[in-house]
Amino acid sequence: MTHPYEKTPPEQFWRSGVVEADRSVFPGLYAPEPRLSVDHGVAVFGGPTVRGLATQWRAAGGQVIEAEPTPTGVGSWLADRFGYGQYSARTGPILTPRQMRELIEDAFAAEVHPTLFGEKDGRIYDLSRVTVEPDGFDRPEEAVEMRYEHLIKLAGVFQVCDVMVLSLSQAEAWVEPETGRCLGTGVFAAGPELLPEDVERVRFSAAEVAADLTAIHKLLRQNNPDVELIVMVDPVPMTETHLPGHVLQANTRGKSLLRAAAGELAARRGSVSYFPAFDLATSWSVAEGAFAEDLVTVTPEMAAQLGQLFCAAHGLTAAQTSQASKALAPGAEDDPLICEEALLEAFRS
Amino acid sequence: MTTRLCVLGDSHMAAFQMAASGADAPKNLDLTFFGADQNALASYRATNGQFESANEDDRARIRALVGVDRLDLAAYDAFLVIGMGLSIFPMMRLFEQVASMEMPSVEGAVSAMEDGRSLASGPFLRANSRERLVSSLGFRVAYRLGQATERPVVVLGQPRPARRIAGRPEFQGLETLHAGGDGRFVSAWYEARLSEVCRSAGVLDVPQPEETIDADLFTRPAFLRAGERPKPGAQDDPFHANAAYAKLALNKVADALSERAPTGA
Repeated sequence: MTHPYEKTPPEQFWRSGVVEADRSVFPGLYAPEPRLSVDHGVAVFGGPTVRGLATQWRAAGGQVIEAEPTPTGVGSWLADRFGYGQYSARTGPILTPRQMRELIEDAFAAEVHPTLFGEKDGRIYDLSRVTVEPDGFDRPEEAVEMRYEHLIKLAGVFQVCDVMVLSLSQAEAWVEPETGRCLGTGVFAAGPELLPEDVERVRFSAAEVAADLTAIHKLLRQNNPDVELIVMVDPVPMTETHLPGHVLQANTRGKSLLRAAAGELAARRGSVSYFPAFDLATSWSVAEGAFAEDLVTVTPEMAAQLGQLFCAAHGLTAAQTSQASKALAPGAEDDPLICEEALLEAFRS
Repeated sequence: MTTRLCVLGDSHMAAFQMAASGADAPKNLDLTFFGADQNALASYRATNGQFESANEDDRARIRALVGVDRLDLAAYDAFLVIGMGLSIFPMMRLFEQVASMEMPSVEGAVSAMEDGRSLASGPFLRANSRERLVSSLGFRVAYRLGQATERPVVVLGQPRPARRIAGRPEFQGLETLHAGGDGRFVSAWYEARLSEVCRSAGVLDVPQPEETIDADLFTRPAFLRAGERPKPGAQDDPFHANAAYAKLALNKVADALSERAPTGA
């Protein structure tokens, strides 16, 4: 009888898979099937880490779908402030599987919920995505129509993308009681008075997290039968909990539920794979810290490593990317020859 | 009393030079010109009361046109900054891509999408419009002057183009906006945003004289250098104003300066 470990590949042993492995590339850590190519339309949603992956995927030559692209002539600071170019649509961060599931449902139903808007100082806020309109809207009609347009464009993304990369961060959310819908991030920052009456802080159970992830996959495949889903748990921690208990425990609980549910789904469904960003950034495998001094932000080195791991596993080489400002659209509308002629005519006469 | 007005700009100074040298030149304004075509003033900075550049090429271009390559800011009572990218075109570029719920042609998300545009919020549109205007050389020059002198600095954007320009593909947006009934909105939007950025920089702005404007987004041919159509054999110039335009604009500038002038105690 052969030893049961005889044919076990090296990545399955801690010593050969982690301790003695080339930890800059981690052979065998992420071997997705099928692999993406530059021809695939990739949609990205979720938390901050997927934004970094998208940037590197683009730089490596891959396509990231943008349903609400940044208009030309918008500087990078302004684009970022208004949520352009962050994800495949101007969703702002989506932290929980429940919020993503609801967004997909609303997009396919083109359903705008009137109770998910708030008013403060005469400004109207879309409580599902406060961060992408930090100054609010001028009037209710503008907020509602832009929400409607957003949902229509999102439905398009869900129907045409070849792959969705989804990075999930938390298993807690503020829930608006009338619709049962999750509020987006940034509501508190914009002003606690925006919170609807009787808003409830909900901590989702393991079963709910798993069910929401399953529903996301099902809803997508119902409308886009060939779509692949790549799920990751965002290593960026939750920065506060509004339920009893220490935030460290709340964070570990949420990440654990997400990690388990994502792994389960990937194991059960051939069209789902799990990208181990959380595993890499939050384990003993990282000799240097994966987080900056604020213990929230992933270091540039870790972000680069995640990008390299992702791109290399799909056969692309992650390129160095730069956050240099986009040049504004050229303003010179005049023909230089005509300009010179006009001046000479005036000043030489 | 005569106001010593230094006019800084690019090729859009030409109309003002023509007006200054004509028989009916404005009596109360003593005009001095400083600039050259395109971005010759980009390297100029105000230092110790002098407006000067370390770039010899820029200096040479300006010297070749106006005879000097440096300004003593104390020698003038006021400054007029003309053109240099300050125009309605950046607004055209914006509103041919995105739509506002305030536009007459926009009923909502569906009508905007049918026109091939996305909706954008008021805060975003205002911020991006200001961003486009302040990135122009005209604004930067006005800002630098405003920081360096207590004398008034007045900004005048370049004139709207001739309507025939809308036949060129790159300017089709103007005609589309006009045809959709959004010309007045875009025109007013441009003037409002220009006023905002000028106010924030502590400089004055003078809008294009109303009587020179054609269908909100264009300039009437009678106020353009090429008139109704280009001269035979000449290249068309749908961009630059003529002396008649400059005369009206200078009256507006004089009004703005007199409104700003301190009243007697």
